[in-house]
Amino acid sequence: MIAVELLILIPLAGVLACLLAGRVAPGYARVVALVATVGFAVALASLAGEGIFSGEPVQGLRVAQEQVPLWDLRIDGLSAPLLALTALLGPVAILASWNVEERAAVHHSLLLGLQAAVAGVFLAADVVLFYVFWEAVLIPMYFLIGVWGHEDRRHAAMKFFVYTFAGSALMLVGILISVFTIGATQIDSLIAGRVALGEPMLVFWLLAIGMLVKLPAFPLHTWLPDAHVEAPTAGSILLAGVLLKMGGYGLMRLAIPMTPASFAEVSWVFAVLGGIGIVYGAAVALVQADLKRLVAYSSVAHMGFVLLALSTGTERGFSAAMLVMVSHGVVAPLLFLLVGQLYDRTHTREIARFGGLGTLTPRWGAALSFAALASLGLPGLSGFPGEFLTVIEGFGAWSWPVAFAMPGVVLAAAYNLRAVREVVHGEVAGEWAGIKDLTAGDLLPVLFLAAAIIVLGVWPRLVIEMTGDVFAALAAIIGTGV
Amino acid sequence: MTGVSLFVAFGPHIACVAGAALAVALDAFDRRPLAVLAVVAGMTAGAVVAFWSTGGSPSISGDVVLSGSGFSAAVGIICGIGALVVLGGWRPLTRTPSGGGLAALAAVLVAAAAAVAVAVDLLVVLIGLEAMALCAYALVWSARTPSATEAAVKYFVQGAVATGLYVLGLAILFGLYGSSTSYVWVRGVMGTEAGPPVTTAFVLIGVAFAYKIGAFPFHSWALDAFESAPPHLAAVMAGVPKLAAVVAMIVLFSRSVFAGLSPDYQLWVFGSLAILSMVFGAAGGLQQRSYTRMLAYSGVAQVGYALVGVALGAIAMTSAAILLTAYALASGAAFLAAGAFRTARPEWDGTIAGLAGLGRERRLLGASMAVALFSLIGMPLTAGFWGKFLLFGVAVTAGYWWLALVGVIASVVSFGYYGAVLKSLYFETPVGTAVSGEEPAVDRGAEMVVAVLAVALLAIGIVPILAGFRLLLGVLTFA
Repeated sequence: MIAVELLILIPLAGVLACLLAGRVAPGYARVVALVATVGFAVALASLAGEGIFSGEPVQGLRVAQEQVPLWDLRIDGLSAPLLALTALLGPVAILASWNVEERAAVHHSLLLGLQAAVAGVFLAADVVLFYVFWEAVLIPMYFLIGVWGHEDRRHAAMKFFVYTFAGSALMLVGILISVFTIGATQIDSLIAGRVALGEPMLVFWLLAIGMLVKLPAFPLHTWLPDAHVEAPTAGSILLAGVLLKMGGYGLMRLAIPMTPASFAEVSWVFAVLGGIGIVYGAAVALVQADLKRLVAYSSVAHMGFVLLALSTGTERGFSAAMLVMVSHGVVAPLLFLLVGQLYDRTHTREIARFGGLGTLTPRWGAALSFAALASLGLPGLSGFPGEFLTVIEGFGAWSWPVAFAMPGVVLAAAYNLRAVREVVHGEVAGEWAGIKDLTAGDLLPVLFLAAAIIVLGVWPRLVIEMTGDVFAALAAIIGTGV
Repeated sequence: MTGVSLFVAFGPHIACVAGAALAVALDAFDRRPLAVLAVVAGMTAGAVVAFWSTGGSPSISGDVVLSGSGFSAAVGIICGIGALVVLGGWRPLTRTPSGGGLAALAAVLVAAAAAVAVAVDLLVVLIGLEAMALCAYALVWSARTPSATEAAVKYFVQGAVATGLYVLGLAILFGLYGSSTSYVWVRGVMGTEAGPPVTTAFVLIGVAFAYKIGAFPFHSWALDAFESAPPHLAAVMAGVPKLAAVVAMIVLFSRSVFAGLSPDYQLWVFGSLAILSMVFGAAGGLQQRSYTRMLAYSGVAQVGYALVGVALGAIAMTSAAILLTAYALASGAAFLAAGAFRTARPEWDGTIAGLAGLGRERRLLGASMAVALFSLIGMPLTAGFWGKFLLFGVAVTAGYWWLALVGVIASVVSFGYYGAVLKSLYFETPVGTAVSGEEPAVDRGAEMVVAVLAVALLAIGIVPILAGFRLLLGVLTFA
């Protein structure tokens, strides 16, 4: 299906079109970028007829077989929800950066390049291609943070690059060992030939560490707060929304099925790190003075849930991980979007300087309250199903020690509600008396994400239906014990 | 031996030297642009002849050189990159006195490198290495600054030591097996026995090569030489000789004269040099403030990666050649860019920090530099990625995954200094720009050549993804 290829070609064409449009008039670039991201969504939607949203695999164009087919794209139940997330966040990121003025054309084309690379990660059916896209993601993000970021952007950009590059370099060694031992590059062939691996545990850790850095798992998360806080709003949206998901996706696509026995042997490490991440992320979020940093640490906590869910190694555990990832993929971008909108107006993110914004900017206040409720896992909103299922499955797999992670749930309520109380409620801070509320244009992406949060909250089957077959197969692979 | 095959085997070298001779003559009449043109034309012709003869399997011509398949392709790459890089130095070469002569020296260096890469005679390799080095001393010295003179003398003295070691090794082999220095002859009479004298010769010649390519701990000349040489000439000296020498090393150590030695010798001698060079080059690079000195350390690290290939022997030949091709393209771009930076910002003090904001001022140059730096790091979508990917893949296949691990860790560390350049170019704003009324000059020629080199890096990086490896591996097959 050419439509599969279009998911990469459309944003890439958008990059060129955006740069050219920027030469004609700076304002055109954002329109072109928006059209390209909508085009991406349309291309994905056009595949609905092929059944991608009910978990049917769809193959991209096959390169002639006598060549080594590195170019090999495929959508299946594991990638479909994350591609949908990428499609959803594309227009949101462009709308969120509608008012960027400093070299807007380059900024938007980097966003499109990022979208192409992330889509490539989710689409690649060949491990080398997967790695190429995995690394390609770094380049636009590095420049987005370094050029358009806030005060400490240079340091944050370097740190982001070095950390994630270090992780993926180790992953490369794992991939090299797999590819050159088994003698294939297609992910399916690698998984089928995995018994040939001499040292599966080594391969597992080499692969997994790159993905755990990306996720990020405690204690490999330290790049994340800096990168999230310093990135421009659109960068934070894509970073939190889809880049972190590459970690969980990679584990389920490659590391776990390649070396299932090793995974099963050390899955307790995942559970422990996940549990620590849940509590630690929430506890640190609670004491943040910077609103954006608070949201950043909440990501660490949510990714802890993903890790705990993965550690169970069951079909429902994987579903729970996917639900948490997709939910976080809409909630965190909404929070970053709102914080960005506030920063545009006030040029500060210091929680202590705000108060009573519910009165001054009722729409913004309502939106933040809504996002905070979603983030803390209120039933009916997207955060609940995944985290609930994680706890149930975690209890099934690890029994009572899972209780150690439960303070994290309470702390999640605490830091989210604290943010709402201090920023939205309370005494009106005099210095922001003239502040403008969200305009209709500002509201558009907010409502878009809010709708997604409600849909996912009341109808989590939407995701589970897509992933069912894949996760059943994955759990079965783990069950084989090889 | 037909005339055609002789022409094919020696054509590239003759073309380069003819270009150089013509350039010297033209330079005598102060026709510098014509002289540079003659050099570029000679090397281009050499590249065309070499690529034209890449078919078939390698064969020995005139008992002296190999030709055909990857050997001809290596010669073609050496001549092609040489031609491009000299073209990139057009502006400074045509503006300095005796610039035509310098271009001619560059062409002789390229011809010598092309000879070293394909030679199958110990004496020819020695003469090639010496010719290369003599040209390089002069190129370094041509900056005519006190530090360049000092660097050239240091380079000369250390180079002489290396030559001495090589000659000693050669003397041992000649003393033992006499009457000819051709690889085939030596290999034939040596048999499979490898007594202590042969091992000694192996170490002596190995160390001499390590000097010539600037591997740690034999690298100290390279740091000063690359820092103080005129950057457009350093661009010729950086990549091309390393590509030639590494191809020659693998032929010499793993495929012919010393192939009878236990592969463990190669592995331990060159493997330890590789690890030391990767680690030291990366760690040293981090300390540097000077842009060109950083590039010199980067060269040490890249030689370390290539030595992984030498340590692994014949199976790593193709991937080592791809890695060094990528390095030659990227280092050529990076050194030429230094010259272009100087033209665009005459007050530049040569530090990395001094490049602040230049990526935004000279957009094409900045973007091309970014591509070259990403290739040196080994990021996907550039040629540098495939070099490291294939080379570390060979290491893993041979069971030495820890060599690959050291390599990727060194690559991560190297981001510290390549990234510092990116940071300066793009994340910093220019400070204290000279407000002299006149517009700073622009070296468009150099910028265009840097862009062409960047496009080549991207093409090599992207085409295999779409069309498979056959094309890339097919060009540089040495079987």
